[in-house]
Amino acid sequence: MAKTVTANNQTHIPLRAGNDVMRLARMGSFHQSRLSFMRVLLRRLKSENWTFTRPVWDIDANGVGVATYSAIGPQRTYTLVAFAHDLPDELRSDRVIAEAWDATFSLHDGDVSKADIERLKQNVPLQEAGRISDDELVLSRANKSVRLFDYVRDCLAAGTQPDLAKIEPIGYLMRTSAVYGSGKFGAADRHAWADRPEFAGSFQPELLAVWLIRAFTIDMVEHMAKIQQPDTAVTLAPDIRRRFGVGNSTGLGMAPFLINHPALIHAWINARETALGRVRAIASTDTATLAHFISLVKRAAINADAWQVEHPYQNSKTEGLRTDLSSLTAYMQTFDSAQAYPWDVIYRWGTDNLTIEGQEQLVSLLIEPFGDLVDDLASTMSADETTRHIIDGTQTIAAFRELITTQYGWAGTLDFSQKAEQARVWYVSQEKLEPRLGERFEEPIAPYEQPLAPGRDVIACYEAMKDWGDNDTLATFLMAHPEHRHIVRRAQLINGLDYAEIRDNTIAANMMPIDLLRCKLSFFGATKFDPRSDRWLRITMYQGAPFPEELENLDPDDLVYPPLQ
Amino acid sequence: MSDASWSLSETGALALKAARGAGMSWGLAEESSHAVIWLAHRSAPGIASLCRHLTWYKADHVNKAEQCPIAIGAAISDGAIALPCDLGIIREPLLLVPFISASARHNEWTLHIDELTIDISASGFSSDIINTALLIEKADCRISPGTLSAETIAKHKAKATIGRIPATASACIKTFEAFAHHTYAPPTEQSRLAGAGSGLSDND
Repeated sequence: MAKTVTANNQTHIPLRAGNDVMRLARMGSFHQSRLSFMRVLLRRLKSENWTFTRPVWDIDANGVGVATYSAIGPQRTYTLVAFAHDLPDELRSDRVIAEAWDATFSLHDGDVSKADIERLKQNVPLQEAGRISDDELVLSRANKSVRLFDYVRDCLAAGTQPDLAKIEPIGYLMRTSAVYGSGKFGAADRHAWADRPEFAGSFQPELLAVWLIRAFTIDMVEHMAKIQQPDTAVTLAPDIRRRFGVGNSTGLGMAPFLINHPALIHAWINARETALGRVRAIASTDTATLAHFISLVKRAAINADAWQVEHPYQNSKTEGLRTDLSSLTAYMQTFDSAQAYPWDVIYRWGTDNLTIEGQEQLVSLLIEPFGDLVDDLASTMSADETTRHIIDGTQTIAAFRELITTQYGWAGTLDFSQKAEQARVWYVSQEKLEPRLGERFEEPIAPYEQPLAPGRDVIACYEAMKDWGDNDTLATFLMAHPEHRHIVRRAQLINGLDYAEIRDNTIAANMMPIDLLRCKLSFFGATKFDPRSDRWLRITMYQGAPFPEELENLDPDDLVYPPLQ
Repeated sequence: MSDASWSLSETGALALKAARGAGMSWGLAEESSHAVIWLAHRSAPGIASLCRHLTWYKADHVNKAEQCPIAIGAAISDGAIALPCDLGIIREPLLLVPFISASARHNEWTLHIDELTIDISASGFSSDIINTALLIEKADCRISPGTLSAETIAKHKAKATIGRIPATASACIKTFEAFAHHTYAPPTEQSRLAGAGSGLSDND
């Protein structure tokens, strides 16, 4: 059994290589796993017996007002302050250019006072145009799914439960379009709370806010149903209610994150790869664990069936996943549980027989039964990035060339004189100060380029070193060439961090930004990736998860995959 | 609640864009951002120094690297300029301090700014003069070996705090925003439509 396995027997199975894992096509196929941050958060809240209250519910008959949700832990309390607005339909947009939303939120550090609510009321509804303080950790907003919110309200008002067949393809009543934390718009710096045990890992305050937002969206729809038909209105049945997560619309604003935080990305992916390595190194299994795994495969197949998308890129991947999961189910029916290193055998079968989408789903499924073996890795999934990497200027040109050859061999195979390899420019728009992707040879945007093309930049640096002597130092080179300072620091930083650098050209004509978005969102714990173009997508968060008042009696990990019919 | 204060991370991100907008390479802009945050952690007015420096830097000065505390500081921390040394005239010498600290892993140093001195260790710095007096526009600078007691070095460590950028820095923030603006691309019809990927409806 898993409990008896230690990490000592894994030496014969090396971790997957960065050159294989860090390709955009694979990163864009990652699935949530038990190391995803939403799941880490709910496990911790449950094990520490956090309690939850709703101190304020002051929402009027038009659905306008304020509500607060408190999460009370062993040492501290956090309070979500939610403002509900009456938004005309024509103003509803998830794009960052929007200026009004159905609901706006802030996560406050501690109990919230009336004065705090008044202060937040002047700022939070304005989002980016307002300011929060170092007493706040998160700023967020959400819009209704007009497809689902009114339908559910009308069902409940009439005294009936909504139809699951209508809920599943959407999966949420509201979707957030931004969840800002870590010092943004005046919020407390990460530094101020990073050492709190409840926030170990990554994005824990943001995901606590989102989980509480989910409870708010349910309370809102039940409130509006009651206003509509006070005599007949009912509340959602618990099993149906849990099928509502929170949606999220995410665009290019998130894409540069993976490139700008190489040490953090390494920490995330290294944890997941280490978990896979530990499971593959298990020498033998028993029929109970194998049966558990097989049931997870079947539940993942139900999830894949409910994953409806319009975009052709994801649509063909999802179809491949459905085929993959039925192949895997068939394979497992005749699987000999007595063979040595059974999980490694399954993993390697997947490499030979499944699409990349299916292979990465398999990775998540393989580590799922082994919480005792892998959950400790969650605490390694963060990085202190406030300490800048100080360039080692004493390094010789010869040693640095060697570093480039070793770490950036993939970039050396690209021909950056070809337009297709330099087709894109990452820039920030004057209008909303958000990252954008443009066409270098069609728009006058190259002067505004952000440093988000490590492959091209490292090759340019290598070229510039051509006439320098082997024994010259980086210090003298950088004094003459400050334009290469950024990439030199980066190359030194990623050296030794196998999963820090994406091994693909991030400005190529055929690069798909949604691959970057999906990688990050899978680590959050998102499901139902639904690309709406090559550069923005929708996801569902916390679908199936317990609500605050259910956490004590339900296992959040078991609810991630839908139940067997 | 500290009204109208800024977090260090958003200020650092803004300083990065401001330095880039003033014409620095991305790598040196990163050094500028780090320098002001390092100083803010130690309650020193680096943000005001950088604000004034970028205004000078943005103007078309010849030989700006020779007087630029960021370029010279980076060369010191890289080891291209060996310590001790005479630096000559340097603009906003307060901004040198984080870089000298980065190269003080084994030795302490004293930065002489005309007649003033700042003692620097790997953890921080100390000086007899008050903070605002550290705002010197340009001066003849020299770095000599320092001798600091273990007690002083411990004080350097203790002095580093989490910190916020206070409301009094709002003029500097505005100046940073103006420089940062130079890094933002003006809109075109094409960018409006395609830049963020219009795609399918976002209201359904």
